[in-house]
Amino acid sequence: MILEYIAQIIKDYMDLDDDQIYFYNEKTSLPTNKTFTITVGFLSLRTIGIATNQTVTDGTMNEIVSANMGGQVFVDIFGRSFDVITRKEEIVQAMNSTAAKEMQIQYGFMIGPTPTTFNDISGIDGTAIPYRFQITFGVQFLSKKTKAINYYDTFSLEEYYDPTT
Amino acid sequence: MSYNLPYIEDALDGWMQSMLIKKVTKAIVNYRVVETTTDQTILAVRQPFTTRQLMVRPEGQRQWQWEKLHVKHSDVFNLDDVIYFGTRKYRIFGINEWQQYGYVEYDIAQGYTE
Repeated sequence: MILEYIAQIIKDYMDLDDDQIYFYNEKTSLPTNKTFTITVGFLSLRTIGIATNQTVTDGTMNEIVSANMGGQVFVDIFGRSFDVITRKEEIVQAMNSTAAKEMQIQYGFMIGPTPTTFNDISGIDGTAIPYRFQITFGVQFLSKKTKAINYYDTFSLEEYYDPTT
Repeated sequence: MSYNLPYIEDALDGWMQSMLIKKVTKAIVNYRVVETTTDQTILAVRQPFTTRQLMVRPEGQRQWQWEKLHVKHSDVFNLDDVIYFGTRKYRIFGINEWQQYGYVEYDIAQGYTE
């Protein structure tokens, strides 16, 4: 899953602990003993294209539906430490690191080279968490699902349509 | 004149009951929250909120099942911890730490159940 790959890239590049980076909206308490925390989530996505193909494997008919998705992924970095100010750029650097390029090749997705937005959103938390930035990246990835389907001699129209009614 | 409050942990033994609870702790594993449930026996007293205590809650929260939980000082929970009494799930919403006097007071409310 692309969010997992992006989180892995950031975690490795910034040497983060396991509980310092997680998916957005995981309903966990904000840690109080860390310098900062990072969350990763989808901002918006759209389907660029869909393809449906059929293959026969070991006498079983399978269909493969591929969805080519594009959109934006956001990375939130927040905390009370000034590290948020000084280390936020490491997220952009992580996305352009060699490890990121290798992971994109290995798992077949693409991260836009530069963030589409880089916003200070500390205002939404008032003064409790003064440092907070949201960085948004364009992404493109493929989602593919394979499922067994009926072959032409086993396909029954009556399963879907009853002409007597 | 001394203003020190007494250490009343021993006196609480006659007031409290032994309760088996399930304590849920959260950890981040592979960027997701994973909840772990452990059985724990505590000495505690459960009491419903008084009307006055309910009135100071935000209006939308007054119909929640609020309770006060007094436990021995060694049975400490954290804010947002989830505990089960039987099959009923409660969440820790407030902590008053009186550990120097032998007990801790929690505000708990019944949470949604899956």
